Amino acid sequence: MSVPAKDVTRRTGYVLNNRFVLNKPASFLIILLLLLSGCRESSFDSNLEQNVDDASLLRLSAQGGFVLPAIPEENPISDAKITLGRHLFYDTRLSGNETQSCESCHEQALAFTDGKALPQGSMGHTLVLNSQTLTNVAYNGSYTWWNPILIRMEDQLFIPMTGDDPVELGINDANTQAVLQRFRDDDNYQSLFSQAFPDDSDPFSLVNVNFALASFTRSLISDRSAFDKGEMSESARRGEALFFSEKMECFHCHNGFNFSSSTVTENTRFPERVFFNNGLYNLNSNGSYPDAIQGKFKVTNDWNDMGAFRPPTLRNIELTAPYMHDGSIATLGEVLDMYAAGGRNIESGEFSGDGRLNPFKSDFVSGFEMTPEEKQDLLNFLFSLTDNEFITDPRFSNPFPSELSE
Amino acid sequence: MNLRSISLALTAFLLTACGGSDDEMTVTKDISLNVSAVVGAASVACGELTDVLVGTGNEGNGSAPDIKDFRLYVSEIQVATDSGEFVDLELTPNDWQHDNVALLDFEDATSSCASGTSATNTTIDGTLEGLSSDEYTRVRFTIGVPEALNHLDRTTAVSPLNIDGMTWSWAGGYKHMRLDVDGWNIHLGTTGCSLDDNNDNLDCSSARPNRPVYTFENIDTESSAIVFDYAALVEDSDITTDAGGAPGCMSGAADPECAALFTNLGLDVTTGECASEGCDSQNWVRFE
Repeated sequence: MSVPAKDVTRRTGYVLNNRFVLNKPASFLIILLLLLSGCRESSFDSNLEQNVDDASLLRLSAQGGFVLPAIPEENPISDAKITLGRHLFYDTRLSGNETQSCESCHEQALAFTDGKALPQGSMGHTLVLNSQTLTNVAYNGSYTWWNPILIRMEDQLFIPMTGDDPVELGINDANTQAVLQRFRDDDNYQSLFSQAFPDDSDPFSLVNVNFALASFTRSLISDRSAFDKGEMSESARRGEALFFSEKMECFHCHNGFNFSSSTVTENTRFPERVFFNNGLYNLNSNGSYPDAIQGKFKVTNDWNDMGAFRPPTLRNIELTAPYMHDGSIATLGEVLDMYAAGGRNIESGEFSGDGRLNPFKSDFVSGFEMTPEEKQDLLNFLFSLTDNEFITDPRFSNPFPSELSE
Repeated sequence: MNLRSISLALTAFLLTACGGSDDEMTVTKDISLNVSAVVGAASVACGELTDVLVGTGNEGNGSAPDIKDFRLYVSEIQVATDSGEFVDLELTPNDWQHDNVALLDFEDATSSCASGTSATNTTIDGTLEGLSSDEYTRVRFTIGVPEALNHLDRTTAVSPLNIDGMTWSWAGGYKHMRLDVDGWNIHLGTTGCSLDDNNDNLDCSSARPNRPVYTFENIDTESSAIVFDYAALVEDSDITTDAGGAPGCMSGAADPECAALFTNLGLDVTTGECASEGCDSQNWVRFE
């Protein structure tokens, strides 16, 4: 069964590129031709799952045909780290006051979101941004909704762990050692930490917690949807054609196998880390977004970045309502209406303003005509990206109930 | 202990005195600079300073700060005689000092500082090499972590550059200075870094450095210490009100609360460099 992972990856990448540059039938033709032409040196086998040495828990399906995500040299992935990370992810002892875990805002059944417009941290602060899906987060070109320089998951993870504005898990300089001691005092964690970090004399560190969480979240790969399996309805196929059309322009920001143009893989050499303003707000008619949520502008202070956010993956989008960076749109149907209108016009209230006229809006959010049937087709296409195996996969589930019942 | 006591210990020991001629006498001095933090007439202490009113809040009468954090990095510390060249103070490596960066820490994790560290640090220890025994009357230092150290991997950095509360994840560096009171936080740090042309590595060449450099003259190095005065820093700010952006100033050039604060820091809020009047237009840090 073991095939050199690199080899498989490279060839899979080739197929993928074609699949999205060309259309699907054409790419299948090419595969067929490659196979028929007796490309003898090729070891590509589309029926094989792939994974990384020592990390069988990070798994790519044959149907999805993804390329492996980039794994940073300083944090090589392993089953032991993934397993430790999974336990930590679901453990409320990871928060300063033991009230929240990562799962509090990232539930598996909701593709690792929380169903709320805005979540609350462990100290009761309401965050200004919507909990993002962790679907395929290993492939993110950048992390968080708007930060252009936060490009490593390990750097991002410290924000929910130790951030103070707002407080999320609430680990801080005063309680770090106490938090780590909770795990040190637990026999199960003694073995999980020492297996994950066998070279460390004292593996109980915040850095190792971070590395384990990163390893687990990297393994959250969703590539077994109806779309991946080719089990789409006629309506969904029509929706796919609309999605990739110049009429609707959706794919400009949601391109590639992960349906986000902010996607990198282990093969990426020229990463694109894109951000777009999609016309949700236009305060004071000067393009402003609400104070706390101004997007990439917050980091660059460049007005051209006002309201610019990273386009999220659309995989499992059916499960991750409400939508947008601030959870301000309740349903997927309303999202499509917003894009058809070329932005959102808010007629009254503190955020009033015509987002359709936002001067910083992406050119691709220019609006389009959409019949009710087309809308339904588009919705069915988006629903075909739902991965029910992903949200029920025991590899990603809460490890504690079953252990307790043993 | 009374942090207000502005005693300085600038202790000099003649360790060696040798050389080929009188002109090239090689001298090493151990220098210990004491530092204190005050809010006007009161020492900085965790919790509400009920006797002290600062800023423009409360209809101009000022308000009592409830101190939650008070830590800052200093670097590039130099001294000079009246007319001589500035000479680097080589900081002694220890838990508070690394690569000529020192963390000054005035919070002790008690009361409203519960998120901090119990240990405090109010001294800077170093050596001066190759000096004559002249008296030094000028001192210069930078608030902040130098660019070369500002983007270390926090997972492997050593103390004091590995303290989570002083890292600044979103900006890719450290908080050069963190002065938090309840409801109004000052986080001074380098902002506006971007990625290089290949979108892979941090590039801060056109960032706003936000590292003020202060020079002090006519310092009696035998009897004075560096004093950071929060009351003078927020003299023109209302610390009871969030005027927009982050509550307080987190170095955002567009944050309305940063303008007055940066003026008092001696910084240009737009460029993050010293103001046109110079960083020494500040009046919140002094020797006493």
